[in-house]
Amino acid sequence: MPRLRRLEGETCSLLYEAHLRFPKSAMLWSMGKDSTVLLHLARKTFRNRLPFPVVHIDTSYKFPQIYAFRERLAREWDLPLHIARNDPALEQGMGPDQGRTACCHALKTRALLDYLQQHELQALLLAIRRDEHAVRAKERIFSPRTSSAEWNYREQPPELWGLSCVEPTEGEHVRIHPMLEWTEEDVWAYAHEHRIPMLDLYFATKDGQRYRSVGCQPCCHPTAGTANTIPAILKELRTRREAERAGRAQDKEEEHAMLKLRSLGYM
Amino acid sequence: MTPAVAFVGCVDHGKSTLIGRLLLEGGALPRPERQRLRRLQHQVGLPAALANLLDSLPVEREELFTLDTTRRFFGPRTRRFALIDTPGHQELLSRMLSGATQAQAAVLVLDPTSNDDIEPFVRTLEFLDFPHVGVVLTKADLHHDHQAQDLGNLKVRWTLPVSAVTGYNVKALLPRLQALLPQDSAREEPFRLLVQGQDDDATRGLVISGRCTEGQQLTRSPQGTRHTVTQLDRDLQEGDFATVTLDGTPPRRGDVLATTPPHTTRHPRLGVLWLTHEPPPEATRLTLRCGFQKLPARIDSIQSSDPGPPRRQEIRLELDDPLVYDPAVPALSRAVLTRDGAVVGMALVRPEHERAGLP
Repeated sequence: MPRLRRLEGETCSLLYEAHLRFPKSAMLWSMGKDSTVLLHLARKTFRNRLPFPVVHIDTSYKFPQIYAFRERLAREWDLPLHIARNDPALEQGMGPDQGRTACCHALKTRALLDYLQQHELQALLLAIRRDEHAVRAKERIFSPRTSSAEWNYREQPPELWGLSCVEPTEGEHVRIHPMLEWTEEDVWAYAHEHRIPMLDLYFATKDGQRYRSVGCQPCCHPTAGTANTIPAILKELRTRREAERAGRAQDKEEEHAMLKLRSLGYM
Repeated sequence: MTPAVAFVGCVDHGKSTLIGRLLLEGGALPRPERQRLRRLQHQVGLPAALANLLDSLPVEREELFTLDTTRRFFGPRTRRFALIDTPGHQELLSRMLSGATQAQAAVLVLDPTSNDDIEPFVRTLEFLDFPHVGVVLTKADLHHDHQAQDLGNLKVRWTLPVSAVTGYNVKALLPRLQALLPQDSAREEPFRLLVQGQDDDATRGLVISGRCTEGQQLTRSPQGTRHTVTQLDRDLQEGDFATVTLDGTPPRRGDVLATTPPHTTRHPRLGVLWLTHEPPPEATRLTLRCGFQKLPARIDSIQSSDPGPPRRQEIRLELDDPLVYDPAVPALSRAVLTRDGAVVGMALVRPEHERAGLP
């Protein structure tokens, strides 16, 4: 059976399962390609009526195109959109010039943890994939976080035969990863097949640059590339050996940056 | 799920190192990982540097061992499969199983120069009942052995000496890994849908086999009632998440809708691999999970025991409500046993007619 249809079925089934077992949950949406595909799949699963909010962790440093895209899809898809922002930190001048790790922690992790607490969430749905990063290849589908939202990777629960027995626990939340099995190519191929709208930052400008992974404007750098359609991106991916997140400053700073951020509750 | 091969074996027999080498040879490493490998090779030597590609948790990187399972993709998109690394310490059995149970085939990784006891791994692979197992004799640059030790009842398809350090036979291993994976069967399976839940107007669930169109007659198990599919938003096939409208009483979570109904029983016979230090005694109350079924259970009798490791038993459970099962269908025979919410064992539902006793 075609790979994309199987991936779609698996992810929709996991989304439905997540909602049944964790009624108080939310889905993170960064407007990037992966979480936009996950959002499309959630709309498919719940027949256009999402039973949980879609949350944008807004650092206020995103590209203008990202905000425009967010507003457009929120309107067209009638999304229950929540915006989580750490306003006190922003008022005190937090930004990338204060150090990237500190900035990510305050404007992403802290904003997310405050949101979790405020809404007493049992679970968060995230569109991470195993092929993005060596640490993500270690993730479970249902991954409990401690009360301080830390990832206790030394004690990951068993997931035997793919069956997870993780249940909601007071004061803690579970990260649910319905797209772990997808690869970067799968995401693009699926977006193409289903005509899912995508941010124009991913497509090459006239000066031959495009973004492969999108986050905050000051910390994302375009890569050279002429791909300006999804088929061209797919063609490019088959020949390139660069890491997908090569343009993301937070991954470069130090070897364990990604893991440190994740273990502290980053997405 | 992407088809996957799990690499299983004793600690330090070279599983992570071998997978690292396969990823390198197969062009599956992005540039920063290749750069890291070159840098690390001078510090810790090539075998540890290759293993470190998989061992990405800080404790693994610092102490140079595998704590938890890893799943890495390999090959072009249309023929992609996954390589699953698993920890080799006996104390990490549940993590090893979290990896191995996601695979359709397994490779037993053996260092013939070592005297480690491989029996626990052979027994575990026997329990998991892989249709085919490959045996890789690692560190072939250090020995000339071409024979594996006693491998019990494992269905060994091939044995291959390999050196991850020199690259000897690594290219020859690739097609052998692919050959272990089951081919798409041309045989049309009956339609089977595992019910996950019921919305206001439709039944939702996962299609685990076969096809279905509107008008199809289905049997709901365990009740045994007959229903007609009155509405579908598209024709269904294996792997789909389905939205189905049926006539009659709506099904419940855990029910199975099928063209050929599976078996039902209140006294299932199970092969169990326990993850606890001691297997629980008769009369212990547990929860049996199989697909979306979650059933309160009591250990009725223990028919045979193997103290292991791993600790294996053949048991019979007593259930309040019937279990829907089919030993020939993975999603209807693979089960997990929990006690107070914690996973205590994994199980395979046995056919009723099979002779009792360990294989």
